[in-house]
Amino acid sequence: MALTLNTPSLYIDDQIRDWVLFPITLVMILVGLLRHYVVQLLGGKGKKQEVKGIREQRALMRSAMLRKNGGVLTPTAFFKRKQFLIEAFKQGSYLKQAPPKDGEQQHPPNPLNDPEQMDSMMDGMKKQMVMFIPQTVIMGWINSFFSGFILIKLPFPLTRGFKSMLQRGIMTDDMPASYVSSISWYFLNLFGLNSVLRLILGEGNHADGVRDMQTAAQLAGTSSQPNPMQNQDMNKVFKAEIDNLELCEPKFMMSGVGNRVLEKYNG
Amino acid sequence: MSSAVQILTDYRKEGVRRSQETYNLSKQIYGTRHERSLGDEKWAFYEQFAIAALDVGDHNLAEELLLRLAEKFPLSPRVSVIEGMMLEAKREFGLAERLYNNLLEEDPTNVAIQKRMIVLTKLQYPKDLSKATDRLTTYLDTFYLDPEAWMELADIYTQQQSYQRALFAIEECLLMQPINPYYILKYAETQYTSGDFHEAYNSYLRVVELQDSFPRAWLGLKMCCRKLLKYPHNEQPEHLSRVDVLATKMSLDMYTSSSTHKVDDDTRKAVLKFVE
Repeated sequence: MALTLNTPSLYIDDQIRDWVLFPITLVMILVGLLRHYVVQLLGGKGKKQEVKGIREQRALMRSAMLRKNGGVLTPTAFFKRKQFLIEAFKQGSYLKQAPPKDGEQQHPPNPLNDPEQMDSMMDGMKKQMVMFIPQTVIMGWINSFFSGFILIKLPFPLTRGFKSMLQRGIMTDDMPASYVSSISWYFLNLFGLNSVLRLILGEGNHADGVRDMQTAAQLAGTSSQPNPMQNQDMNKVFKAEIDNLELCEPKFMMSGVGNRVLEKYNG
Repeated sequence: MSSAVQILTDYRKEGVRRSQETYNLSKQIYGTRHERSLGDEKWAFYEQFAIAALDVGDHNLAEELLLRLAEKFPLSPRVSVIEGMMLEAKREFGLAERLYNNLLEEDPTNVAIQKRMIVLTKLQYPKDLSKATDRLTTYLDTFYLDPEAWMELADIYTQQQSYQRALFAIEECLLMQPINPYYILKYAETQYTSGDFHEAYNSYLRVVELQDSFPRAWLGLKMCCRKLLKYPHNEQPEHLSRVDVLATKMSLDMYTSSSTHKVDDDTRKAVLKFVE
């Protein structure tokens, strides 16, 4: 091996493999399984949407679809629909709660007042607790017992850029990047074990820690996607949708279809 | 045998009903070791088998399966759907209605029950479809994203010959699945039936633009051309005669010289005679 010419390879004790590497992996798999079942216990029912809430959402989807695919209709049919939706949105007939009157002061509804919202928030919190607590404990365990351990040497050479990923917690500049430290092994497991857990539990399990982290990131507001946790003012959403609809001018597919067909079959 | 299991699994995944085939295949498996090897899939198999049995009229078997399912999942609304279908099949409409009403009170968002309710209304008042239409439109007002329900609505309206309403329903499907040729074909045919040959002509052209070998669409296009050629020249669409030639050629190709399509002699003769 070319790398070993100038850097003599380290000898890693068998004991480390048996008593550190395997246990960490095993513990993480088991915690994943445990989390799956705990989440099932906690949120077994799954929250149901209200009929009116569904109607509100579907109306928005309908408008979005009209904007996207409006071109397949004839112009008259399209404009009739557009006009209808704009009118309906203006009057707020699809809103879950009636729109505020003109004189009334608008204040965003308090999310804590809505029991449904409250439930869904608590649900998310619980799931995240189940996610964060075991991860914190495992990390603490690894940090206090195995900090500075080299657990494994990857069987392929890597560039220096991987050092910060694979050798977290070890401040050695000269070690080849293919040696993995204990805390990095923990992170590799955290992100890599999902497929193993999926193999054991099947699709759609709750053991996936990273996905929960992504929802956490969404909660923190780093993602621009609207999330159900945040209480949106649907009134404003509908107002924006009216503008979108008014601006929408699709290209109608029916015009010139004869030419296109003739070109396709004769050309 | 194991292939029967495979076919049934595929049917379940794709949502294919094909009751008679499902029934025959299931009967081969039911009560054998293959059934035991299904594991947890067994229950989904029972559900599929029960529905197929109801469809082919084997009520006793369906009842047996239903009992097993109800024993395993006493509170499942999915089992209740089968129970309701059973009552419908026995024409006990009152009982079925009561069952559905109870379930909907518990959970008004249960789409399967909502749909059963619509079907039940259709069965209860076969002469007066307005009740079923009311239910269906109320359902669609909330659960907009359901092209199948919109298609059902279009069918009902077509039966009542209110073609403009049927066209509206089909347009909703088109918005949801803009390049599904079957919806466009249906649209074209309804437009043709309502007498709007210009629009139908365009819609048929859309179908053949999207899909090459669609005999029905080519023949429909030919029919449209024939009607439109009778119009005064300034009301005809551009290139009508060229499209007419193309449609004639394609219809003949599809229906007569076909080794790929199975066309019997009568159809062939009828098409020839029509295109002449």
